[in-house]
Amino acid sequence: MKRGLFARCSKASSTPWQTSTAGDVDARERILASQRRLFSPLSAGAVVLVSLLGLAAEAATLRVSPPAVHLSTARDRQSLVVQVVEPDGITRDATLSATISVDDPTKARLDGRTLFPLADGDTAVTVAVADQTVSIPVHIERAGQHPDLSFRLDVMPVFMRSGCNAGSCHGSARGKDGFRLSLFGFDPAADYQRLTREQPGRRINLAVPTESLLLTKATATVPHTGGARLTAGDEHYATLQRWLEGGAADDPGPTPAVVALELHPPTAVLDGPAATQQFTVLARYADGTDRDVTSLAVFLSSNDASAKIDRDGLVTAGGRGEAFVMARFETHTVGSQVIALPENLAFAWTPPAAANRIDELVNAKLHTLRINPSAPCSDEEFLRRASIDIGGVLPTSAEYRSFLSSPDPDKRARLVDQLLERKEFVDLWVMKWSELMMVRTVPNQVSEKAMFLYYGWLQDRIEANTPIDTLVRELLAAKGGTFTNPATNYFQHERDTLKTAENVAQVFMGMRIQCAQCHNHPFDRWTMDDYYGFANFFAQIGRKQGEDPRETIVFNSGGSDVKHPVGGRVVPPKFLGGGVPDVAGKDRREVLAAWLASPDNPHFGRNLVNIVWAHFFGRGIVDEVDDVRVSNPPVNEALLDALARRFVESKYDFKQLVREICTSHAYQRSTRPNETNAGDERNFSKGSLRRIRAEVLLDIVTAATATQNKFKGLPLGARAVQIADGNTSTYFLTTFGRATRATACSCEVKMEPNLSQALHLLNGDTIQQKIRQGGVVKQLLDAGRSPEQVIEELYLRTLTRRPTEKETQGLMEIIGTDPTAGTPAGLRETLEDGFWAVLNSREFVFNH
Amino acid sequence: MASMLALVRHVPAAVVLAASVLPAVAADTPTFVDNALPVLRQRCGSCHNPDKKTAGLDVTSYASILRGGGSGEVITPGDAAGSHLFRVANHDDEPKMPPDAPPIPEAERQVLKSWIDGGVLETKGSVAVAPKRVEVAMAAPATERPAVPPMPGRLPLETGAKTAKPDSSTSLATSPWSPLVAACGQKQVVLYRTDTLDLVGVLPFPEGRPHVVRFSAGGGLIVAGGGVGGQSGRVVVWNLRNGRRLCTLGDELDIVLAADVSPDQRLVALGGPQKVARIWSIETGAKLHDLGKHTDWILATAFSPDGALLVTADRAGNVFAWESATGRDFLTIPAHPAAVTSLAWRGDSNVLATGCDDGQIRLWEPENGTLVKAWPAHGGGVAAIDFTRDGRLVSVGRDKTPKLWKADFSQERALAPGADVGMSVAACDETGRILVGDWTGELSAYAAADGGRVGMLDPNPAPLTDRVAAAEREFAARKTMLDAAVAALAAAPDAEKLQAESAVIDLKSQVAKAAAEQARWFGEVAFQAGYDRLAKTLADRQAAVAAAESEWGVVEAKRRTDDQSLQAAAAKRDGLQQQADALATAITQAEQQVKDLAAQLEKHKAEMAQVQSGLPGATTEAETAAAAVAEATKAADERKAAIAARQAEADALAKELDALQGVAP
Repeated sequence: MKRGLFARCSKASSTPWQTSTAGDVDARERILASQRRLFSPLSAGAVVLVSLLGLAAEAATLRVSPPAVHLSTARDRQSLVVQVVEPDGITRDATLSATISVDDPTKARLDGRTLFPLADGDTAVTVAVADQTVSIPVHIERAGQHPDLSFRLDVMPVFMRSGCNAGSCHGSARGKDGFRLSLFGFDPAADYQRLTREQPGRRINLAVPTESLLLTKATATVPHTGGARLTAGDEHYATLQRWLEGGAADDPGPTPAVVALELHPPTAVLDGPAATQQFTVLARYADGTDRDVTSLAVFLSSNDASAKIDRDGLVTAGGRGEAFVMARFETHTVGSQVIALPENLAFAWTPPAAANRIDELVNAKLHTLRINPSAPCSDEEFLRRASIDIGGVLPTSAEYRSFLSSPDPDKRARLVDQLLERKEFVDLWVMKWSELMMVRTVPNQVSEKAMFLYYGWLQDRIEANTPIDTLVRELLAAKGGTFTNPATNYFQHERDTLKTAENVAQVFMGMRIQCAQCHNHPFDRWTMDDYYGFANFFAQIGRKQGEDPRETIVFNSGGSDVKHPVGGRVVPPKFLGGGVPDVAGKDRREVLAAWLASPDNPHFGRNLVNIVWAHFFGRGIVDEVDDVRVSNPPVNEALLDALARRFVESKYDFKQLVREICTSHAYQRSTRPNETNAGDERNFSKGSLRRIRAEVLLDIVTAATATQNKFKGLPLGARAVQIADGNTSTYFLTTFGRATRATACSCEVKMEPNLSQALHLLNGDTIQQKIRQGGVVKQLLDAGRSPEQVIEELYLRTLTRRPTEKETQGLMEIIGTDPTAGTPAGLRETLEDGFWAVLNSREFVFNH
Repeated sequence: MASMLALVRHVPAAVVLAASVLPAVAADTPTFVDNALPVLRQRCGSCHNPDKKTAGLDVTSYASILRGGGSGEVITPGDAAGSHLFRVANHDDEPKMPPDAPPIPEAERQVLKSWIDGGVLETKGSVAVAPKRVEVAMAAPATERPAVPPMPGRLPLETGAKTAKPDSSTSLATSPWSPLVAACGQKQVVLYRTDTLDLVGVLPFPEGRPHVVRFSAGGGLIVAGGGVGGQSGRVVVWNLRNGRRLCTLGDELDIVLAADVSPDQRLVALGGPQKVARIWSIETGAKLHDLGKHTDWILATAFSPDGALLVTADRAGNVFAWESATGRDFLTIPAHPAAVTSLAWRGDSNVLATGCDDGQIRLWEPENGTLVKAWPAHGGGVAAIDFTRDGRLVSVGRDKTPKLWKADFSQERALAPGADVGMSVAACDETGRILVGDWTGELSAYAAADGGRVGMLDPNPAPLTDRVAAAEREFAARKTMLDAAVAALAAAPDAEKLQAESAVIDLKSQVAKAAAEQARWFGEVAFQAGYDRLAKTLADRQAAVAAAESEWGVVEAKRRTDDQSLQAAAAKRDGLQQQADALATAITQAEQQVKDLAAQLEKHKAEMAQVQSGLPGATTEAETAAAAVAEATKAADERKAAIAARQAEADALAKELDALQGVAP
């Protein structure tokens, strides 16, 4: 048992999922630094070494959160959470059972598990569980001060916590019965006006505050469609009452903003259903203070079936699985990972071999989840899988024979290298990038010439293995005519400033910021300020017509700004999740491009490796690939981070990334499940069954039947992956979900199997005609092959394997009993029927 | 005016109260009106009322609750455990009521249970007392100054407890013909004189918070509308002279936001968040009309000074004019871009002013709804407007500055800005002063002539005990100072004697004033005590009258029931008697018939005997005759045979002759 691994993990820095906030570059640095500390190769190596030697015999460790307590003013307090981390990784909630004492009782007092300040000074809190003790430093200042209630700091969070300003209640666009609050409190100033002065004399009663409609409706003392949201006399009721008694005053000046939110403990592994873990939430403010907001935060779980979290932050485990529990306060959301295991699970970890860093990280996660990965796939399966994923081709029977018979122990890595050198690899990835860049004709807007030039430019860059960052920088800062500088086409097919900003964020950073156009993003950290600050980079794109009416000149118009709808103010251009650059006198797009495709922007590298990963595994480390948000964390943060770092350090070497992925054991797992990983679809414990995408499917059908296709704009014999225009398609391609490239969403490419597809393969004209036209069977028979040999050849061409005894026997039986099979034409037809059957099989259409 | 006021009889308020609500007399079985209705109204009425009728169910009236809702009946009389209404209230069945909330208190559920189990009685069976008519109507709207200004007599000044702060001032109203102003307080309406700024009366409003207050056009009535937000709304009408309630009208499920009384003092119009304006009659205490065109909360309503029209305005900016006598709609004023917060009529009924939340005041001609003038008055929104008698306008709004407008509606003067957004305004024509209330609850009085502030009014006056204590303290303090000054005078050297004397004189007058003040408050306390005692006795007597009436009602009902039984029994007996008579006649007739038939039978028998006696003789004759006939026949036959023979001979001879002559046969 790798006891050491988890003890080390628990002691290292806590929250890989903390996200830094807008503008706080220092925080981001701090977090990335902590992650490096956790996952530096040296420590991991030491851990592996130690555990292999079985030297470490560590007992359970005690983890107390938060690690330090700061109390300021008499109204502050801090609740403590105690967690025992067993050597096998299971955690137990010892919050209520631990013995907690304050070293100096004159400075602070303990009530239950909450610390309250008494006098200024420093002291410590000792937490003891069994024979372990931990001491937490406590610092108290201004214990005699009783600050007034603040509307923004004290009253607004009550509305969010009680659900008053949720989208289904008063936070909706028109409010309820004329009373509107901003959604999740993004506009406290307006909320104050609406609450106190919009209908004076109605909503609040300054003389007898407990008779205010605000309180009587919230407690359902008078009929309230929203039900009872507060209980008379509880903490939040008291806050509102005191605020009203103080005259319902607004904040006299600006209040400190929340800069970070922490959820403690950072992880929990719960043993058995009904195991619980208490969480506590800490908010850090811009003035350096922190505050326990457990009673004010809104708690959510990403998977209620595995871990449910209640209003007070208590998680209860459910069925086996993984959940991400989140706390939301003001505009921040932060989460912790909770794993629920069956009670007293007897699990034997068979350590799988690791080919590279990817495997180490994937296996580490599987170990935590108590899942054994599947065995590696066979050579045949690997040959087919890699050929389709890397090149979009099927191996020929000759390639098959040579690969299978090769005794080289590294033949799989060699195959990957070979495939990477082929032209088909470039074609496949040019197609994928075309989808991201939305290469297509748009009537009266993007002509065919412009589109072809755009595609050509992309093809050139990728063929030359241009580093992705260079490509993206060239694209985003492109200026000039759409014929002369084809990269400018990116700004021709989408002319709306806000939509362009949304597309850039979605494609290059993987984030959907659309929601933040009208209100703060409900599930992510983006505020309207972030949105308009980012959109302002694209506000100065000028367009004018070139000499050729089909050509548009894109230039920097330098002058206009996008206005924030609240108050019509201008938000200076600000990087999404980054700082505010100086754009005076500069081309804003250049400034943005320089930042976006640079190591300063951590999301860029992560997004790209995620896209590539999703191509090879059918599912990204963040799923969907363009839905990165705080409430949708990566299933394996360490893996994503390591891959991204490597990618950036290698100067965005794309081939290197693909090579690493395809040579890892994680990629080469069989799709057959075992009893531990049968239910896991997310953690790459087994190979994934994926339907082959439309263009590749058409190409391999064409290649297997030795036919050629003619697509609009391409010569005869071109492959479907080479179609440049999103608007050019065929019935086959559309049925199988080819992307029209009308939007930048990753959902454009449809990979789900459906009935039309099955019917088209069975009854449509593609397969039948191609078999007839291609004459593969005829050629083989003419070359003197026997029916068994023909059958074998057909299987090799399509399924990359030899037919089984049963299959051959079955087919030979049909040939034997078929009266027409005596004649050559009849034999050919029967064999072509067999060919048709194989092409219609799921084994052919799916990548396995 | 005096003659009109003389028509106002001192009708005890409790009697009129009895017209609308029967007092709960102790009874065995709970009834709908007394026990179940208050619970149903409070807990269920916000959704299950006649306007909203969730699921088709209206619980606010007996007939409709028995009728049930969209899924059928909800009450099974005598069986509460099986009644759907009780089961959902008790959380035994889905959908649990009230939705998304804990069940209503156990005691209230018990009330419903015992009411249903007791057989769903409607009332105690008493006949409702015919409502006494309240004679307050004026023959014609008062547009002339009455001979005697309508001032109140001495009114009680006792208030509820003083709150730490006043609430926002939602409404102010001045009497048209007297120097009086009324302001809304917490559960009371306070009356001040606008000339001396003295408190002259406190009218209790236990129904909740008064939100809007109005004087009638003749000045004889004060009307206040208010209630408990989200729960109930009422309008109370007081007689100004004696400060006693005339009636309580309105039955809203949320606070009344707008109310007005008609110039002839017969109608009250009210409206609020239920979006329906209603006209009630003061005389009968019954609702006359529902005016249902509004789509949002009704914020303002005003009768025209000539009494013909009623105008209502809502939060969506719609303004409608109705005929006040019939409730029919008369005119739709073009919609405003934002909520219309206030309405005011000019004294000649020719101009209607609307104050809108977009900051503009608009003037309309009420015959056709044409816009006469519109101008931006207060940035952020107009909160309240009022016309003066000479056609000038005062207004307040969210820019905190009250403004006075000339008769041609250009700005005459802007008064000093208040502490916060202005909310209410009233112009007093008698004293030329303008009263302004703002969001902090401050009430300021300004002189219209120069715009200077002349004083403040307290909407939250202290209770009498506090006043007395304060006056006593003040008096004691002054007295002490006077004593000190007297002592100083005695001890002062000659040079300062003059100063000391003047100090003593000053202090003496101050002491006198403090004494007067103290005496005043003592007097108020005494008055209050006497008033309370008499009012209580009156209330007790009235309650006794009401109790006696309801007892009479019970007995009367019993008598009626018994009378009905008697009627029924008599009717039954008469019916049977008639049947018996009819049958007797029929029997007599039948017997007579029997006799006649018997006589006929005898006659026929006699004839039969006669006939039968002659029968044998006739038979013998017949036989003899038959023998004679037989002989005669035989003889005839013989002769016939002889004839035949002769004929045959003749024929043979003839044949021979023929043969001789050679003639063919």
